[in-house]
Amino acid sequence: MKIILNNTNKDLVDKVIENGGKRVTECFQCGMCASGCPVASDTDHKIKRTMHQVLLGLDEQILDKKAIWLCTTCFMCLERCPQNAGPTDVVIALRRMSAEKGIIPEAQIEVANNIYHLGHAVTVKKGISLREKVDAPPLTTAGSDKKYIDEIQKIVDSTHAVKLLKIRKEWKPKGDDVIACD
Amino acid sequence: MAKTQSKKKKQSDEVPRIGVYVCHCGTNIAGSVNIGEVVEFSKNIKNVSVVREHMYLCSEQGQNMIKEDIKKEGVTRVVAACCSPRTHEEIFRKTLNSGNLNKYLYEQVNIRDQCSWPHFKDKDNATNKAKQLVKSGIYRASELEPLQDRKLSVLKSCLVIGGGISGINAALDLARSGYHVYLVERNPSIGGKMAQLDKTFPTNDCSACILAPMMVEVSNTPNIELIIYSEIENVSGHIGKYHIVVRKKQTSVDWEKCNGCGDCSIVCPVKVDNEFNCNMDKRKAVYIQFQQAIPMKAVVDKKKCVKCKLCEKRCQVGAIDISKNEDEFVEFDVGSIIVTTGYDLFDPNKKAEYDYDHPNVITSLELERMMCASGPTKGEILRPSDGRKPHTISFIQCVGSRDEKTNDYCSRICCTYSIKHARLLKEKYPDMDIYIHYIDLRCFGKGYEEYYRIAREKGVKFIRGRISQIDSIGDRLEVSGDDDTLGEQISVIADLVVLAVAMESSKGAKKLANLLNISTDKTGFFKEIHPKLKPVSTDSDGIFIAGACQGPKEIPDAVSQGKAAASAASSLMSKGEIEIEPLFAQITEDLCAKCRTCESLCTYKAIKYTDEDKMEVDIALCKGCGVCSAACPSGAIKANHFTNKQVRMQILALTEGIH
Amino acid sequence: MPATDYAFYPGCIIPLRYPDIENSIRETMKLLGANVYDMVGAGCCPPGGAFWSVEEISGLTQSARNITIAESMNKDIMAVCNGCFCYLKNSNHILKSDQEKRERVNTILNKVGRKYQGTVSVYHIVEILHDYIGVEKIQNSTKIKLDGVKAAVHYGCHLLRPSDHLMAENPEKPHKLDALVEALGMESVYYPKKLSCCGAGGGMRGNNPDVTLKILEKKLLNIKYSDPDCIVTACPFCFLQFDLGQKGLRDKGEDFCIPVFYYNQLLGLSMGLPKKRVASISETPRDGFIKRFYGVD
Repeated sequence: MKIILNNTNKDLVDKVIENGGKRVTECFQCGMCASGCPVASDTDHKIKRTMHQVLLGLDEQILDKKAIWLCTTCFMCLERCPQNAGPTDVVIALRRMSAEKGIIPEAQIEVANNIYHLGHAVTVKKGISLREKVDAPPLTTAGSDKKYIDEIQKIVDSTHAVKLLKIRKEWKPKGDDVIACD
Repeated sequence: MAKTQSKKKKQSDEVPRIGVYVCHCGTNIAGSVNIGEVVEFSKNIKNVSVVREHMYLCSEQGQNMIKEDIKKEGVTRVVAACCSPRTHEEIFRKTLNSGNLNKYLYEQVNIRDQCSWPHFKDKDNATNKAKQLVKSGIYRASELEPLQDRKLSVLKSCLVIGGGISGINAALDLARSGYHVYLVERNPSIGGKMAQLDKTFPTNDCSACILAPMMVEVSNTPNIELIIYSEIENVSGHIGKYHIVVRKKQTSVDWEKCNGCGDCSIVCPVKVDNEFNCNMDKRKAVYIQFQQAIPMKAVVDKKKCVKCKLCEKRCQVGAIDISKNEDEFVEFDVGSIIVTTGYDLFDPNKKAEYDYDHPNVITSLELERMMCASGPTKGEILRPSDGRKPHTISFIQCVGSRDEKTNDYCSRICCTYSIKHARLLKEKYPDMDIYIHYIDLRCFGKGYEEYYRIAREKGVKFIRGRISQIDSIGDRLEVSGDDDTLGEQISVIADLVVLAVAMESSKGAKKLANLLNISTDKTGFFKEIHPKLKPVSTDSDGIFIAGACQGPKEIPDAVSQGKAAASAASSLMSKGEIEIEPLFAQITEDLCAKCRTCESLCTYKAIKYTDEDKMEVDIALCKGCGVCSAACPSGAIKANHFTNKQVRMQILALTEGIH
Repeated sequence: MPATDYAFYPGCIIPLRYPDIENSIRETMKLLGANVYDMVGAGCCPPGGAFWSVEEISGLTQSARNITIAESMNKDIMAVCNGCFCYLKNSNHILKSDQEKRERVNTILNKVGRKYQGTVSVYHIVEILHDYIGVEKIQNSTKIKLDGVKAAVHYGCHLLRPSDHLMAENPEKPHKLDALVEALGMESVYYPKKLSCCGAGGGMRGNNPDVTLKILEKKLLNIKYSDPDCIVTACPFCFLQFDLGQKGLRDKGEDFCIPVFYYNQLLGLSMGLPKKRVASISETPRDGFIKRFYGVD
């Protein structure tokens, strides 16, 4: 399908810069990022193309798609970019913009809710029983006492994240196995 | 003096003692030719007294080896079997000279370029061929005669053809060194294309601001004689003394009286396309080329003038005389010539797919004129079709360049100047949507990479992918192409399209090349002798080239070459005389029947029948080609260093023993 | 020079899924003379996947909260996970240099009675072991030498990159973890693409389990090139990926069963610490390795 470049989102570059991709305009499409990316050959996440799409304002090609959530944030592209254009930062900026529109993968929501309600990314009960098995000392982290979890909740409540991540007060972990970490 | 003369007489009478030196040239020769075999073979040839081999004969060690042999072994002829004479003949000749042996008693046999290199894999045959070539050289060497270099006087004046930035720099450098310079320019003012530019990369200096002071300096330098609105009519003569005939086109204006007030232009009723503004507006039939013109004088365009004489009546100093019709001719002699005729741009009509007919498809130079405050739109960027400001602009690179169908070379400056245009437009109109469609971006020079980075920061969009065509859609243009990174076809609906057109050799370059007897290459640009080591010299020794006429380049390089050519011309002229090789024809008067066959055959017009009933050879013009010698029915002409005897010996060596 | 006493930041995975690693860290550090103190109330760092990918301040403030715990202890932070190290250090850097963000964060922290001051630094345990404690001391502290045992060392991503923020290692030629492994007598073997990602991070393990295993498989095939006896890492998430991931690949019928260790586990075993406490939780069996090289059942 032919793309008409006039009808693109001229604000996209500014929004990406606002959301953390500060040096996106430095990119001169050399392809160093794409060549070192661990997921490029197995997924639709083509970082060089994503940078170019941002610069042209083609947001409908990036924001609603899964591809930007397939970055492992390994920072290889950012490390090697000869213009310090920060491709990883651009991906995170695009994720933040996607989240504004309500598009966040299920696994992320689960981890965020775990942190909000349990103080940790993974469930605590299973952890405590494992600790007992190996004679580890009692847990002293946030998961050990409600007062710490309250602190974390107060913090998250003060930010926009609470709405975006659909943090629900009545949420309970589904089980002990966390999608992302178990 | 007497001593050396008698020594040299001895050298030609005695039995020659030939020293043969075979060079390995690293593996260039030794990699294919068996040097040992060639050495052994040479030892058995008549008159050979010494045979040696060396890894690099041209080295100081190699040269000293030869000098030692001349001194201690009494070698009287030197044969070097090595590379091409074009490379090192001079060095070897100098070595003989410093060993007190006449430098023309030297024969260089090329067993590298003409033997080892072309037959590199065929070692046996290469060795045999080398032996035969060396034998031929040895036989010839035994017949070589001592010759003396001749001195030629060189006038300390120079003709610079073309008053652009390169020619201006050449002229100024030469004038400051004390030479008299004739600067011939075919337009009514000097300045060239640089005078048409707005800003120059990578500093974004205003072009007129940096050019004008130089132009003024040229007009104020007494050593520089400006010959304006003129073209070279004829060139004859030779290095050291060229006779130049210049056609001064009739201006119908007495420049002694004209004060550049411009009143004549105001009253002239005739409107003509203004070439200086790329035909985007009009000038009058009597006009001054542009506001900072040097000289600031009016010119009547004889082709368009309707002879109403309104200007003549108006002129308050009586400078105009419309009845003057004839071109004038000026003649003078110079010692050297520098060609700085610049370039012209590719005609985009040859790429019909880009629809150059459409008023809103323009070339980069046309955009440059629009951006200039003194240009046709006073610095506003406007669509030529309706005078509205464009919002979306597409730049198309490589129009006419890197293209087997038009010019296969890269024009070098277009990437950077398109980035310049895009940057300047974005600075003036931040909301403008600008795309540059390219194949590669070549920003190689000092400061160019940073220049490119700033363009990206300003939001210029760079798309790797070519444009296939431009179509009209209503009052806008659809620019259709490809985006390499997206892997999709794209199009831009643009208000204005700018074509980055190729730089080509200027109109009239071929004609000038013929007049000067210098070469152009297949691209039409003038040809230098050696692209790396002799970038400003041509195959005519006293004629130099500089600037865009030698090949596409940007201003810093054009300036460098102008200065380089001035330096080269200066080395030539500084002593007031040069030495030339005595490889010319010599006529034995007693044998000459004055049939004038030689005169009719000489391409260089070097032989003339004189008033004193003699055939005379102009040794400066004679190139020693030998045609006259071969044709002379009485055998009266000897070609120095290529005598019949010498050539016959070469043939004998190669054919001996063959039936 | 980092001090001997550290605020121990355990993260989430180590205390709640691999507490045997936590034991190995506590006990080996004690035996080496470096005291570690609990950061009481420390929550998730949080890593790149959840909060940072959604809204910056929410991630930054939670990191800041964790840092303030160490500030109140007046001790530098020892992070034992690559992700925690990267995001805590990065947050520390942002808060130290961006006044506007620091003010926003402190306004929120004020509500829970905390204030970020920027008085502590963040270190990774590999830095502390190599730069402060030193390879020689570690070598002298071990009772059992693993001479001739081949280890494939996996650095992971967030210990190395972005290198101008983390400054822990040479990003293209890291050597500290190799040196630590060699201090135990092992040979750190070469394998292709040693610096590449394990495939777990950034939310990948949760977002696309198929792709995460594909990337892991590529990594394991490269590791198999040198036929190591074990894989050693200093990040619990990479550890989890290798441990659970190999099981996931085995469930699909692939043959991957290389024992995986967190560095301090091997160090602890080499110092004579009991297997049950320091190296007993894993889906990919290690008992064979431990029996063979430590003589322990």
